[in-house]
Amino acid sequence: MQTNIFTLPVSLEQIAALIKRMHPEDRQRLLTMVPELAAEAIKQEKLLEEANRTVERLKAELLVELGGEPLSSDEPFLDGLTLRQYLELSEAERAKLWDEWSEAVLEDMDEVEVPANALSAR
Amino acid sequence: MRCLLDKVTARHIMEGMLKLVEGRTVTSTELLALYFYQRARSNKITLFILPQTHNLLKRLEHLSRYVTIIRHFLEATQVVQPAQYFKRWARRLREYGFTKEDAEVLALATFGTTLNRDVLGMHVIATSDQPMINQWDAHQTAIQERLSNMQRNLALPYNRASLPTVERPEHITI
Repeated sequence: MQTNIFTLPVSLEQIAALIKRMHPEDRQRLLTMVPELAAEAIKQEKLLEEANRTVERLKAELLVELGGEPLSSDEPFLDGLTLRQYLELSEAERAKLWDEWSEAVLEDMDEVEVPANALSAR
Repeated sequence: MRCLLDKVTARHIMEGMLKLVEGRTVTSTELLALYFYQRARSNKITLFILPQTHNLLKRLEHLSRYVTIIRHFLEATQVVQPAQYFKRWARRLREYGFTKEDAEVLALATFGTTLNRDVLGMHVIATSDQPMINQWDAHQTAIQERLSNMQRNLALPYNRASLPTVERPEHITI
């Protein structure tokens, strides 16, 4: 949990937008002034490298399960869409379709009794 | 450890797996969701999905070419069920400014169980929804107090239910 020392008059999103528009030399100066940013970037880079290696192993595992044959982009998906059409939709469009397709309404579900000896998350 | 995948994280894992076997490049968010999925599977972390995610996967399962991928995901996850007091707790969480949907996910992580009802609650919710994470952290003390007050009148196991942590998949320590 992070502690707020003071409240920024601008949001982090605004700072990020400003950094994106900066001249490369000014970004370098910023990195000199805040070396922690470079350290964080290196950590993130290492994380992505490790993630890529791990996900490559998952890909190999899935392809073996598929008999070595990748899925075709023209494979039918839901609602008359092909896999390619679905995956090429925007994030917002896919989220909307996912909501429409999932149907369950949690508040309509019955609550179930749990026995006293159930394992809590404490 | 028990981890509830929110709807978006579950979708990113599924879409990421589909992209991998279709030869497409995954986005960094999908990559990190898949990375967490793999780490959780390797470390015997119990992953849970929402009932609505389960419904959608069941709809896809009849398409034969996706069966392998869907089963891969379903074998690695369980479906969380609303336990008693889930609705009451979700209503209370809404008072802290959470959307109805976010409040329900958060409430399921405290008053949710498995199909065989042997557990109550989750240790962590995996989400890439940074505003929800921030809001949860900001109201943590007040929410904990609210839960403790509610639990004074509850019997076992509900008076032992606890709040989850809410974290991005890549930040969850396994």
